[in-house]
Amino acid sequence: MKKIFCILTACLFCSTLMAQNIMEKTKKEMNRIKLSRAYISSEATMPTLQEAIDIANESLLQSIDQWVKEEKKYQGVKQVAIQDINSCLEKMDMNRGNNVRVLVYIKKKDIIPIYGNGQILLTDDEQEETAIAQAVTPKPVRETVQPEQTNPETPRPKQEQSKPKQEQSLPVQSTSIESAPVHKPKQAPVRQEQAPQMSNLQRILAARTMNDIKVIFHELKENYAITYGKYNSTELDISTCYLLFYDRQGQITGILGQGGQKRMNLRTNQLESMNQYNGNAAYWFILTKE
Amino acid sequence: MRHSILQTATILFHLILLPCFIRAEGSVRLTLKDTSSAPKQAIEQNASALLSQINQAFDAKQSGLDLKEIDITDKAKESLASLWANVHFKCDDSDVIQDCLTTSSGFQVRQIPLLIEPQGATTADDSYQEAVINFEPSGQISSFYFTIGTNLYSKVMSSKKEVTDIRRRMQILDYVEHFRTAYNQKDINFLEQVFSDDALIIVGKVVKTQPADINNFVGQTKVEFIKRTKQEYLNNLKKTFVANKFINVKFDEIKVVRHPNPAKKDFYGVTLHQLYSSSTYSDDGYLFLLWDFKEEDSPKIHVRTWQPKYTDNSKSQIATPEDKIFTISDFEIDIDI
Repeated sequence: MKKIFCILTACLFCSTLMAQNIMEKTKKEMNRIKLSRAYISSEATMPTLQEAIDIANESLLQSIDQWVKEEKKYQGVKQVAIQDINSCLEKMDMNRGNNVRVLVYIKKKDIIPIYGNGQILLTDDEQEETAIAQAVTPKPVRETVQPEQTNPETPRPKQEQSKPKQEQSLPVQSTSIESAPVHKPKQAPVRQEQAPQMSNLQRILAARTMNDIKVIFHELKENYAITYGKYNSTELDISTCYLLFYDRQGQITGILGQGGQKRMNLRTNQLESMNQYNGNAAYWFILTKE
Repeated sequence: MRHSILQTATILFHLILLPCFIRAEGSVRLTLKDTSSAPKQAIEQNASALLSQINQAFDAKQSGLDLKEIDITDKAKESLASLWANVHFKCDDSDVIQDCLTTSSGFQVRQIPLLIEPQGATTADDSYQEAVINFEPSGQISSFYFTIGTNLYSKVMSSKKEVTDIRRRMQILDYVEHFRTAYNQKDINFLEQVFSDDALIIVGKVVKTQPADINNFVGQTKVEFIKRTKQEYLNNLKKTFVANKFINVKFDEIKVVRHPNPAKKDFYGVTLHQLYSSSTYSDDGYLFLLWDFKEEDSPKIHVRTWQPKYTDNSKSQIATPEDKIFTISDFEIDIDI
């Protein structure tokens, strides 16, 4: 009997010690994240877990706004989007008296700046879809802010990984494009000489960002010099189209000539596979011919 | 033989583990996350020393705080002493990491986690509080207050429609926190200074009536409203401070609205949901304060009103409708500008 008592007491002490260790580990991890320059974090202590998460999230959004304003390289940023929050989610636990402490955090590199309104909207009906995008755009910034969280309910830090999202296009674009009618290329009236066509292509090749492309495409469209659309939005034979690829920052990553899976990169004159542009979004375009 | 070995082993095991369960001395280290122009080292050193001293005094159940070695203003020292006389508290974390904010008068560190123990009563649901420490530009501690909730602070700071000046918003919140702490501290001097001499003060008191045949033997509560001058209000407050071992004031909703008239842009209406409890009395209501920030170093309260949150005797009854809660538009400001 005494033996059992001694063993039980020893086990009790051990488990208490383990729980303390886990709490200490959690605290340490929270402090590490708070001090790290790679993260933006916010914390809240409230009577319930959900309240603490809500307050911490609100505070985190404000911190992100503030950070973007202060970062020189983000001058001119109109919006930010948060990339793939779910896969960054980690839960931690922390109890504090009768309250619950939550730390939410996000890696700075997961904050994507968007320069200008609708910079990547190049569909036919730009006005309507810009309006749709403007109505839709604020939502993703808020709704996708499910930053990495520390959940104070259990004493054990856990990793929660969800499936990575498709990163080929921003949500705003797919929403607006899906509602657009399928565009069929037509023989536009010939209004330009061969030389102007080359200069149009050269203009496109010279563009570095989607902001530039938007201006160029708009002008060309007004002059009936171009037809274009989102890569997966057309039923026409894509091998007859140029392809323009861009990343989520709006930087042009490649402009490929007509062809199949392998095409000529018109900037580098190198043959490239389209697979190289996985993870990028794309537009097709056709320039008028004589 | 085996039995005695096992016993000895268990005792030794417990003795080895015991130090792990003995709490640390109570020392606290404050580290600042990001600092731009702040004197980081001075702030961290002073705040760490203060919080460590507070923890030591709490653990040793000391009646006073020993702040001799800490770089702190005399005013802050007195203020802390008054607070300690009414409520003991300790920092809940041995490692506190927070941002350093810039204010109009220096720097500020918020969200210092405290566990509090009001003297003379236990209020388990209020055992957790957060504190804010203000610093002079040199890093010297200039004040220590209990804060309003982080959620309220964020709400006011981000509410661009109502108060657009971030600096002014911080100042208002600073004063609201000082105002709140003044009740915990029983700081009559601050309250005397902050109310204008001709302030309109309306106090409300929840009173319970005896059950009678008419009301079917059910006791009821009613609210009495009385208009008071500043001196009358403060005299009564002094008596309240003497009569009660502790006074605890908590704000859990806040709305700050600037006066719509551009000519009166220095006037702000602050509506607070106040939970008041003391050794002998408690109530739940809306406090409205009309603040005048014409002189930014010494803002004044011109109007102070109180309304109950619930219009009837139990919390299951209807709460005071929002449009009946006093706001800045309910008062005509006749002060010469």
